[in-house]
Amino acid sequence: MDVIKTVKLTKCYGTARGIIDVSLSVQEGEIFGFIGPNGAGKSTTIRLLLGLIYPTSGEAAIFGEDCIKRGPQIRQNIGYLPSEVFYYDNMRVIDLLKYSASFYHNVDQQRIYRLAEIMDLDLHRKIDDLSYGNKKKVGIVQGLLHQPRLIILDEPTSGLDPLMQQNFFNLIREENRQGATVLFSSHILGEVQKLCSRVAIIKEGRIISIEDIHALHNKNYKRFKIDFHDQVDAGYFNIEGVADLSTAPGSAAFLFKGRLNQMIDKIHGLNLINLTVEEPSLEEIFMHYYERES
Amino acid sequence: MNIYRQELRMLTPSAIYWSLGMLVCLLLFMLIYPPVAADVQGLEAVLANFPLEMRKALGLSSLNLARVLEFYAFVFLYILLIGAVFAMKSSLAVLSEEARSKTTDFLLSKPVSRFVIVTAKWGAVLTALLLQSILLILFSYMIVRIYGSFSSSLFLLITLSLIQMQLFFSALGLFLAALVRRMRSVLPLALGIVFGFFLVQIINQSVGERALGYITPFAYFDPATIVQHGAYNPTLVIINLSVSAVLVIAGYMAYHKKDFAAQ
Amino acid sequence: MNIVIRELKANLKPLLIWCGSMVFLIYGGMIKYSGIAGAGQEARKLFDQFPGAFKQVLGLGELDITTAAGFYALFYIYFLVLAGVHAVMLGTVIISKEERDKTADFIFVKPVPRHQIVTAKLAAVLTNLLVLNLTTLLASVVFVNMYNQGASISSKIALLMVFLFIIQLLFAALGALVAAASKTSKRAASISTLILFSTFLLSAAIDLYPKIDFLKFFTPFKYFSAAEIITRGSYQPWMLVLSLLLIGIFVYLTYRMVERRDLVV
Repeated sequence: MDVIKTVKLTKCYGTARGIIDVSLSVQEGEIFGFIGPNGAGKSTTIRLLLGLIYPTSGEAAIFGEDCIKRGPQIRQNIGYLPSEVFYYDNMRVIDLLKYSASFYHNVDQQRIYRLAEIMDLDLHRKIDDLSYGNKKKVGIVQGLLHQPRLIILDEPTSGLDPLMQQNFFNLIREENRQGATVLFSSHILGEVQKLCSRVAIIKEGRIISIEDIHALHNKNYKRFKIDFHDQVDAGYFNIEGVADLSTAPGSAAFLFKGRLNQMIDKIHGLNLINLTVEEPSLEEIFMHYYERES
Repeated sequence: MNIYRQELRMLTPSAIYWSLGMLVCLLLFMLIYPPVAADVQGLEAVLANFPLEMRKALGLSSLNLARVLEFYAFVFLYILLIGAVFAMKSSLAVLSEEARSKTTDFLLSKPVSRFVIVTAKWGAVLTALLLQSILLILFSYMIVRIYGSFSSSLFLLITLSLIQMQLFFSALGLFLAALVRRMRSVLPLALGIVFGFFLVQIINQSVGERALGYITPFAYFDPATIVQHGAYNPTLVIINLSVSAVLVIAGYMAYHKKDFAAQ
Repeated sequence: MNIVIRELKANLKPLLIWCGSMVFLIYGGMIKYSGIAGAGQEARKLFDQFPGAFKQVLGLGELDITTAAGFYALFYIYFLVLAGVHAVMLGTVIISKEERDKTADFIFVKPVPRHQIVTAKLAAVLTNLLVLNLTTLLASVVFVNMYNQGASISSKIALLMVFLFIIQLLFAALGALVAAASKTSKRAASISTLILFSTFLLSAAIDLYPKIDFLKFFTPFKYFSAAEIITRGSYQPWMLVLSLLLIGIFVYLTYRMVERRDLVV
């Protein structure tokens, strides 16, 4: 079933645009990525889903129920990790976590300790004294401790060291394996690549496309880097299917999508020093998407 | 310098609103001066029979409200109240700004010493207060002049008590802001403290000047007393300056030693 | 419930300071009274000579301030002011603090409807106001009895405290509404401060010049006359109705506006 379903969801702040006609659906058990440049509307969409702000038009439903009208009920089963984490004064980590837990039905207290251990979080420190990254960890445990069916992550790993990031991803994967659906908003494409099965790309308030990660990879460009002895024109490699071409005397680099034999023919005649052909990163693909669509 | 200019710019809108507030307050009160004066005129004779203690207890002190300047002195107590809150809240705000808007890392990593930072900020507050007093002197004079003639020097004496009072409250604000680790809301604190001092003075007006008279700055510059004696009490002026100085120095020291937590 | 307890804990220290200040204020006031209680008979004679109009100007009406009762009533306005400052700021801050401190993303994402959160906060406010009120009552009764040479006025004081409570509720509800309607917490605090100053100065102006008494509807400080209450135990029922009506309206609007807000962090 559709865990999240939005239909032409729109939010306008006076004359400033928030998001426009955002329609997407997230299936149960998916890890769904939500990417876009800063200011594209990712946070706005999420805040609409959580009932923190109200839509100008359109619908948003979670677990089949309207986000605004049935908000409190729905949120029993949602865990939210905001990008910036702020808490109350003079609270210890464990106090905050217990306070958070008190809002949900049937929270397994042991789970708090387990999660804290995985994230290497000292439960007895005062939150005020924690570093940014450690505060983020509090946010992570806080968002997961009630075993939510839907986990919404907004830039969750900013501030975490690489080891913690790994722990965090493992945690998310484990939750997913146990049946949780995940909405993962980020502008770090590498992470999205690692975790998500499908991804929605948003830019300037609109959804540009919703793709399957694997399909995206298959539509691939290949990245070519060539070093050679010959003198060639700048336009030598600029055949159809080439993009992002940069040349210098004796070298060329570009992305190519097309008949590989065509490109091999062009390279074949050269006196090669070095040739690299690789899968471009998701970054490079998406940069392309962004540019093409604009 | 740049910090000073920036701080002053940030203070300007608030300073304008509060100054306008003070002037509007004065204006509105002066509007009812003529009828009040008429009323009081007739009762002046009876008032004279009353023992001073009694009159003080009634909150009337010794002011003859029929006279323009003395009415002004009566109203000025409220102007002082507004001005004191403004001075305190500005000081509190200016030094706790970074912590509240999470810009600590921005300012404190700049190549300036904390001493310079505090000086620039407090300097901006003092500038705003000075400008406010100038504005007030000018416009109040014009307003009150409409209602009668009076001794300019006494007028000035009364009106200049504002800046001195504000010196104390802004020093107090500076000190508290430097001391307190996190200040979420500035106005409740400023209002509470200033009104607290104000109400102590109200009690004080009747008990007699001794013990209570020294703990509240509103007693140091009581407009009614100034009118009566035609001058400040020099001891009190000096005490005010000294206490303010001590608070400011303590504030500087506290800010210098402060640990600014991560945001 | 959990939110209420949180709010109570957070407000504990300030509440204690306010209560302490109130006690100090009352104590100081009664010491002041002891100063003029001695004036006794002579003062009373002189006082009786006062033309009624003059007593009006003083806002005394029929008050005999040489008695503890009369004095306390005169003094009462100042508790009102202090309690008003406390109440309006309490109401304002408690509603605006979640957005101010950016904890809105924590609390409003919890599986509770917004109106429940508002109810919890208002309950905490009510508790705080009650504590301050009862402290004032206790301190008043104790200190007045220490210096009172006449009949006991404790029941009259209690009545005054009831009206104090109503004024507290009024200011707190107004403060909450201002916060619910304001875009930022800073603006809310400024507006509440403006309201406080305006009502206070207006009441001072009315005291000075009773002919503008009709303006008293704009300042809760003048809704109930302490003089009237303490001498005759009576009050103007219309003002009571007005107060309760206003409290109801402000609270209702607060709920409405918090419900419809876009929560900005």
